[in-house]
Amino acid sequence: MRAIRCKGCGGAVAVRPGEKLPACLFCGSPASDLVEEEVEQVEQPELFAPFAVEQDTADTAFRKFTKSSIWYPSDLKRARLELKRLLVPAWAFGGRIEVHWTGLERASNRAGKRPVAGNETVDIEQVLVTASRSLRQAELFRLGAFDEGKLEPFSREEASAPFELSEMSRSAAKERAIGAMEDHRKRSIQNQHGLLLVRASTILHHIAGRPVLVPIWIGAYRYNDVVYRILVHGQTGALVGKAPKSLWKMLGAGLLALMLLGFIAMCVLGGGGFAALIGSQ
Amino acid sequence: MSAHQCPQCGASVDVDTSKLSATCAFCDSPLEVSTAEEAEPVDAVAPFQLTQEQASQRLRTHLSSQWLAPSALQKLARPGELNAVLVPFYRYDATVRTQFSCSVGCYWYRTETYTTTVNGKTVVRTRQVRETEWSPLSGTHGRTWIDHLVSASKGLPESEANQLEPFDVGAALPFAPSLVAGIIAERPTIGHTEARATANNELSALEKREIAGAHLPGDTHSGLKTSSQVQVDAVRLVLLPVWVAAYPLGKGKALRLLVNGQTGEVVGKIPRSTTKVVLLVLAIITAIVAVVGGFLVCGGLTSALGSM
Repeated sequence: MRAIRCKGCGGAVAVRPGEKLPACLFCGSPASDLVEEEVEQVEQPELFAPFAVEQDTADTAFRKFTKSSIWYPSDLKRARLELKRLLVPAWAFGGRIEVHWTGLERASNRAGKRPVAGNETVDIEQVLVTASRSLRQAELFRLGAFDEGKLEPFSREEASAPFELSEMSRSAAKERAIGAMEDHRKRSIQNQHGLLLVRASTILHHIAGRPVLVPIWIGAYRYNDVVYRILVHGQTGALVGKAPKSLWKMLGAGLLALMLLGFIAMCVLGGGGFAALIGSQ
Repeated sequence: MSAHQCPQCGASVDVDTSKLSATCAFCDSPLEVSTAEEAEPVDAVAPFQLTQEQASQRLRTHLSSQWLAPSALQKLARPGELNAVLVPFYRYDATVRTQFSCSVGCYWYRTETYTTTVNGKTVVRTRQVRETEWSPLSGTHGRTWIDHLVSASKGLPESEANQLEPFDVGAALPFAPSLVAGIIAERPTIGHTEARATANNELSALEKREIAGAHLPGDTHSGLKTSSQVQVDAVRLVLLPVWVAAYPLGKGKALRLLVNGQTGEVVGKIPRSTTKVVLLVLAIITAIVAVVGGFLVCGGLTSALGSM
């Protein structure tokens, strides 16, 4: 499969034949750092979630973000940012999970708690685990979950956006998906039974997964020659990103704080001197 | 290849006829030459990761830490004394569900008043005393156990096999005759029924340990009773690599030391040298006599001086 790989960050995306990228989607490196090469895809994506957020909504989310902190420089609003569509690889796993749990619930005895136990068998239609190589798990986690109910069959030829190539094997993804299913059930049992603590052992049945793609808007912008990356959730419009902090604003605030401290000190010392004067009379 | 049954320990060993060994690799007894009936197909073979030289080095290090072992044993650690044996194991994947009942204890703290004497005065103080609130609990536990190993060889009792473990069964390759060429490969001499019963007992014990260690809530527990249902999902026959050093002790007995062919773990009951034990006892007695004698002499001198 033909893909464009960045020599800077190693990120690779598949594009439609003949399509070019003006810069790396992940790190903003210029086109001169991008090379077209033949790459091995671990597994072909079978399904994808279409974009529900359009360009203008994504742009508005960024403008709002630039005004979200008083420490951001005032001219950040004027930063040039081009958000691009990107389909990020993920795995959708489903199956049946049998949970045997124990826990502690509040009680009106002397210890204030009492042990309880139970079990449940639940069918989990799908959990999504992202399998991006270039985006950090923490970034994707902060972006929020993707709605796995909105998956459609994927065809490479009709891809509405460049898609990142997955390098995560099925077995590694399965392990992560099982971890996510177990955590999900534990949280649910804890909330449902109002437990102070929950411990669980699980048996899994018919766990099966498919490689899928989920939509995000991605953009890198430069401010004082430093590159900042912004991600916008393609289904919810949630934004995750970093922005520079204005040195002038922080210096100003520091000075103001110092002046305030000085003023308070003067008041206290001045008041003390005044009191001493009265005392001596 | 032909199979040879050991009359002493019951092991049935496939021996390359070109390298026909006259003794059993497990217990060093002379081999009975007989052709075993149709062998059960082997699913996978884990190759040796330790060379004969590395295995003998492990054995030397192990033996040198055994002070009371007969000195003659050191010769066992010579590379030439070690035989490479592929030992058959049943490898179980099983789903185990366990019902348990016990008492779970949760700690709470009671403030207690007591009197004590400080600088000759009686004062009243308070302290926190830990108490336990016990509650009955019954529940279930379940999990899937992958690659649980049970020895399929009469030559390698389960207790010794457990000491040799863990083996990295992930390193096993699908069976191919080239994987066993030139190596002694034992055939299973323990049947499925017997091995399954062992697996049941071991998995039930593992479940109980896991429930006690990781499943029960609260601060402490007592009277844990469990009952497990083991459902075998898959069973495979694998050959695992073991270096064996056998040494006849006379009267039909043999000393046998094993080295895990993957990890270098050494297993085997090492006898004590009678001469060395006698010498040690004599040395201790001499030391005691010397110390007691010394005290008596010193005491005698002191009292003699005191009476002067």
